[in-house]
Amino acid sequence: MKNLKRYSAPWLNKQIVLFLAVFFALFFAFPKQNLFAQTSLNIGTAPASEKLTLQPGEKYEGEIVVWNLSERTTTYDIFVRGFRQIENQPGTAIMFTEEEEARSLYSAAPWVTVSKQKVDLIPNRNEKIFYEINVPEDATKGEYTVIIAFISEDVQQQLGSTAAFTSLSSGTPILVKVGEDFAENAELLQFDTDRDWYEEPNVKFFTRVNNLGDTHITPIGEIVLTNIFDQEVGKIVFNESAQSILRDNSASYETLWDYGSFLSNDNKLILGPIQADLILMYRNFQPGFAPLTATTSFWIIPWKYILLLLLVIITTVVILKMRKRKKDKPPQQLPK
Amino acid sequence: MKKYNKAIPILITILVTGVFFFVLSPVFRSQAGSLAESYLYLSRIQTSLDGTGSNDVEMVLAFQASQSFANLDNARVDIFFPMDDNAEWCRTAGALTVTGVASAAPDTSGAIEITASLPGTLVAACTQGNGTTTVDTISITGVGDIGNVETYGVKLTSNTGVLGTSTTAGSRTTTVQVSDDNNLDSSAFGVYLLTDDTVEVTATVAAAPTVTCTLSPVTVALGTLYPGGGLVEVSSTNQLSTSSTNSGYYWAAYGQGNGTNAGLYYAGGPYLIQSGTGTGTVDISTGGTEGFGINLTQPSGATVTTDFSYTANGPGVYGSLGATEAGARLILYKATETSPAHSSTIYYGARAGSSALSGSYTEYVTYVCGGYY
Repeated sequence: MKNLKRYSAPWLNKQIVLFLAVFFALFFAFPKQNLFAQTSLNIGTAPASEKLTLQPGEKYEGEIVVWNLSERTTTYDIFVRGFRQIENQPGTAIMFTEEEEARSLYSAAPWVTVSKQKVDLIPNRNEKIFYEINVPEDATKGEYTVIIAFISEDVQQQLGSTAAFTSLSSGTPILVKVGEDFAENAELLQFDTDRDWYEEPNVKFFTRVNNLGDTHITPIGEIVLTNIFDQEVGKIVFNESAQSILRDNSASYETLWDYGSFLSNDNKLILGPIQADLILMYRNFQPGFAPLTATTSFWIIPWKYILLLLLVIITTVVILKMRKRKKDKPPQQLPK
Repeated sequence: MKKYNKAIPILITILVTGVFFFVLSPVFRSQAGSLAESYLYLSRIQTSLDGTGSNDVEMVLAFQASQSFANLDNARVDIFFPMDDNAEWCRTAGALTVTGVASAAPDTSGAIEITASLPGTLVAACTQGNGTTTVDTISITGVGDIGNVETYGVKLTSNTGVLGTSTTAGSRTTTVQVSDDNNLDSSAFGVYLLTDDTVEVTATVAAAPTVTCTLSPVTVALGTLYPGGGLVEVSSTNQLSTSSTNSGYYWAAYGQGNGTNAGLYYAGGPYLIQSGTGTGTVDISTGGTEGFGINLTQPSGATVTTDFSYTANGPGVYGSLGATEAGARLILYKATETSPAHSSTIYYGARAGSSALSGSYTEYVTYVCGGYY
């Protein structure tokens, strides 16, 4: 019977085998690749940072809340290390490598213990990570840094082709001041605009501050804009999000003035040469005794409008002259 | 010549008057000059401070006189505030604590630096103006003999509720006058006030800032690279997205490569298609070049750093990735609250050189996301 069946339609058997082979090939090869391609990682953290002032021998207990808004449970490894600022960007943190950690004098990582070494983040559920900071009795005065970082576990797979595999990292940087009477000192390295002139009040200011003290600083202040008549035409808040600079670092701040009108709120003209005066505070105690100030200038020349106005004036003058010439010219007498 | 006849008597009159004025002027006792090497600093430059509790204000005045002032001639120092600020600098009339200081926080080495404390048995008082003819004034009396060489320093500390600041933000013109019965020096200062000079906001007051970061997808297949072949570019639409409260967000990235340099790595070779030097960009636009890098599109209101900008970089030019955390590079940031979420598409570009070994190359890119501190 079996034989009959087999030989009754040999072409069908071949088709079935072929179909199964193709099916398994597709099932085991391509869907796996697509599955990973569709996978997403998500992590939310609160608080975004902590700034603490502790004394030698003091213990501090805190918590970080993390969550995952993706559709699958993801495992994150928890790292506790010192951190540094990324390039010239104030307020950023990237954790030390193991070698950097070993060399660092001001990493608070050895003082920190966390409740878990890794965490499975279930979708749409908050997870609390408790940590404890124990400042040693013999800790010297200074500002120490530590980040409790979460890095997604590698989704290592072989695609059989060249690929970039990615992981997601986030965390909570913590700045720990130990002791009192820190030297807050800074200098202004740059205050400038990205161009010398603009068509409209859409100006980007670049400010670079160097932290010369032994603790982080958070410069705040104002940029005051005055026109050629010495009238105040604008005031911009500097460093609205209060981004800090770690010690021994400098940082660049971008401040955008996008006003969108050639008249200020109180009808002052925003045209021609504009002077920008920067005043910055960075000290916690008696900030007024150490302001940083600088001045720069730029032009606002709406050349398209000016060109249009000139064209209108020239056209009007030409038309008026032509009319006048026409009037002055005696009418030609028709030949008799 | 005739037409100038009328002008000659007028010129003679002006000349004679001028000579008389010049000759007679020394009879005036007072000699007015300007204070040199001077500053007036306030410990707080916030508006509406009332001199109580944490709204306490201190002042440091430094000046170098242009002439001598004598204690016997009732030498004194006065600070006059604008008429519009009546009863705002002197919140209540009363005594201030005054001390001569030989140095102060605002001293700028090599520029304006106090060299001697203001001598004398100093007494200071704050008197309110009437708003029409008199202004808020701080008077320091009992000043000792002053020369014109030293830069003198004096510190004024408010007794509770006496010394405050104007309610008006911006520049407030303040005049400092050093005088005695015979002479007078003065200078005007623009004291700039802010609506808020508080440098740090404690975490207990502010709502806890949060940042939520998404990476999707996690794997980007680059297909097949051919040694000496063409450039391969793969876009990963909206691979990064972020939302944040209060303080903005930033993204940084680093690769793994061979552990020393980032790039597409074939362990079987081994062979590394390096992501440039880990700084600047990597240009793989022309044949015969080799490399790997990424570019990002810029969400509205955010900033993609120059080296990684999809629009700023020309075709075939990509941002170079560094290796490990030590080589992390900033790729995208925004300094203010972000809601709804921002998304950025990442373009991965790779090209294999003619000496590249055949095999399966991989790079592990870690994207670091955070909120500002």
